[in-house]
Amino acid sequence: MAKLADWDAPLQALWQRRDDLSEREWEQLYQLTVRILSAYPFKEYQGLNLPPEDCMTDFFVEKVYLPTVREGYSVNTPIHANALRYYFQNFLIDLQRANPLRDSAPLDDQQTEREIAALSWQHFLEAEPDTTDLEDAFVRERYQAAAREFLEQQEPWVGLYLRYHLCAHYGGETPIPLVRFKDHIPSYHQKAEKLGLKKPSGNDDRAALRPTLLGRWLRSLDLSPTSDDDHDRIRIALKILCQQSLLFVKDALPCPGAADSAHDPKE
Amino acid sequence: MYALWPPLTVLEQELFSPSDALIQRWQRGEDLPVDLKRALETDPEARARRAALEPAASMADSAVVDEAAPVPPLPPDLQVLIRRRVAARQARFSSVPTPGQIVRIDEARGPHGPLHWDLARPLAVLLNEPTETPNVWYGWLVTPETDYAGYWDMLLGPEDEPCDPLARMVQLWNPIHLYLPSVSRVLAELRPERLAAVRALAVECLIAPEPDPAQAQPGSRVRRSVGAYRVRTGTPLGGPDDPRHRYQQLYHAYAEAVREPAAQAVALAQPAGLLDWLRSVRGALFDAIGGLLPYQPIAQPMGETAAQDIEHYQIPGRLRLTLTATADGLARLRLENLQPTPLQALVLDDDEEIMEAAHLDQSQPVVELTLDPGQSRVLVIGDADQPERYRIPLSAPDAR
Repeated sequence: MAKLADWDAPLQALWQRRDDLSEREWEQLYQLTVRILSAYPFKEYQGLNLPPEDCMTDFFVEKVYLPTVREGYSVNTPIHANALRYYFQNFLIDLQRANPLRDSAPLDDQQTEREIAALSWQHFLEAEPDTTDLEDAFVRERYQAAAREFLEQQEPWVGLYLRYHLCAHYGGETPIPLVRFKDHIPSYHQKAEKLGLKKPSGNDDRAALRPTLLGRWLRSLDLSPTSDDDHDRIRIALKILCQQSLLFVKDALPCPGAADSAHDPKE
Repeated sequence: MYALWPPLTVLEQELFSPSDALIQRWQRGEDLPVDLKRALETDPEARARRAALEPAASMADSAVVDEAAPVPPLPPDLQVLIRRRVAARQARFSSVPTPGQIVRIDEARGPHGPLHWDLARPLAVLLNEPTETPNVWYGWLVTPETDYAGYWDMLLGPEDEPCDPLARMVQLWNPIHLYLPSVSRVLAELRPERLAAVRALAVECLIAPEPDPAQAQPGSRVRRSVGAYRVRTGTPLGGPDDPRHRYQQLYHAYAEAVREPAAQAVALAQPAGLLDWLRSVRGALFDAIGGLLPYQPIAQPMGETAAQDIEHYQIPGRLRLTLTATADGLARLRLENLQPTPLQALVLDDDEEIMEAAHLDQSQPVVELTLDPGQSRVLVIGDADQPERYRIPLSAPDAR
C-alpha cells in the first residue's frame, strides 16, 4: 500500500513532459492515472451507464492526452493526485450533463434498424466483404498486425471468448455459449459486455459498441460500425481477428463438454 | 452512452469554460492578468469549481493505493493514439514552414507576445500558403473529433502518417489565417497529392451547391471522388437537430485564438493610416457605384481573401473590384469588366489630368491599378454611353 501523495512526484514528472514521452512513459502515465483515480469512490459514476474503467480511459484521452502542450507553457500547470482527482470529477460531471438525446440526431426507422443490425458481430462475420474499393494488401497487412497485437496484449480471457465463442465456427466448431464460461472466467458476464459480445443493459444501441474492447479495436483501425462506408473493412478486420484468434489462442477452454449445450436458448 | 464522441457538453466545457489548469492557478494565487482574474471572480461556474478544488487540495491525503492491484492493459485505441503520437514526434519534418504541414498552437501569441487566453486544448492548422503579410499563412483548422465530420471535413488516414492524432480531419469550412510565431510544433506533413486533394475539396466546398441534408448521417463517413482524388469525409449536415451544427459553431469560435493573433499581425504590418484610408476608399466605392455587393471569390480557400486587408465587390454580370493592401503600404485595385460592352477606367489627379488609363474589353477585361494613400486621385469608370458612369474619389481621409 502507498499513500496517494507519494505518487505526486512521478505523476508530475510525466505530466510536465507529456509532449515528449515515449510509448513506455505514456503507458506509465496511464497506469498511474488509473491507479490514482481507482483509489477514490466517485458518486458521479451513478447514472452514467459506463464502467469506471472506461470513464478513466476516456478522461485520459480527452483531458490528459489531447491537451498536451509544450513544457514550460503557462497552461501546462503542475499536477498532483488530488488535482487529478478534481479534474476527473469535473469530467464525470460534464459527462452527466451530456444528454444523449440532445446530442444525437433522431433516427428514422430504417436507420434504427441498421444501427441495431450493426451491433451483431455475427452479421459482419457472415457477410462477404466487397473488396473492390480497398487497397487490399495494405489493408489486410495492417489489420493482421493489429489483430495479433490485440490478442497478445489483452488479458487471456479475451482470446478465449474470441476463439471459442465469436470465432469458433471458423475452426469448424460450434460456438460455446457465454454462460458456459461462467466457472472459468471471473465476472464472465461483465467481461463479455466489456469485449462487446453482450449489449450492456440500458444503453443506446448506436453507441453501445464504442467503449467495448472490440469497438475500441475497430476504432484503433479508424473504423466505425455505425458508418456504412466502413462495413466492408470491418468485415475484413473481424475475419482476420478471428483467423488470428484460432492461430494464437492455444489454451483449451477448461470446460469440457461445454459445446454440448451450444444451443442454449438463453444465448 | 453517447452517439457521437466526445459529447458536445464535454467539448464545450473543455473549449470555453475556465480550464482546470486555470482554476488551479487562480486557486494557488498565481499572478493572472487583471481582466482574466476579474472574469473568473464574476463567473459562478469558475467560483464553484474553485470551491470544489480547495478541499481537494488542502485535505490531508489519507487515501491509499494498492500498488499490487492489477491495472488493465492499455485499450487498443489508446495504444494506437500513443504510438501515432510518438511516431509523429520522431518524424523529421521540415523546420521551415511548408505547404501541407499541420502545426500545433499551444497558446495565443500575437506580435506583442502572449495574449493570455485560456487555451484549454491546443489547436492544429494545416498550412496552405503564405499571405502577403510576413509570418502570416493561410490554411484550415484541423481537429481530432472525427465523429463530427461533415461533408466538408476531409478525414486524414494511414496514408498521412506520421501524423499526431490531434490532427484527424481538415475543416475546409473553417479557413483560417495563422501567425507563425504561435506555432509550437509540427504534427504532420501531408504528401503533395494529399494536399492537392485538400485543395480540390476546398474549391468544391465553395462552388458546389449545398449538399442534400436528407443524406445526413451523423457519425458516418463516406468515400468520395473529388476531381482525380479519392477522399473520406462525413455526410452533409442535416436539420437543426444535427449535433454537427453546434460542433461547427464551437470550433469556429474557438479558432479565434488563431485568427486574433494573425489579425493583429496583419494590422501591424500596415503603415499607420492605411487601414483608415482603405475604409474611406471602400465607402467611396459604395457611394459611387450603386448595387455593389461584397462576394467571396472561388480562389478564397486557396489564398488570402479572408484577410481584413483584401476586399472583393461586384455588380453581378457587370464588374468586379478587388481592393488589396500591399505590404509596402500601398493599395491595389483590380477592376474586371464582366460584360461584353467595353469599359474605360481613368485615374485622374487633382487637376483632372489623366495619370493612368485602361480599356477593358473581352480580350483584356482586367486592369490592376496601384493606389498611393499619399496622393489624391479620382477613379472614373465609364462606357461609350456614359463616359463618367462612376466617379470615385480616392483621397486620404485627412485630405477629403
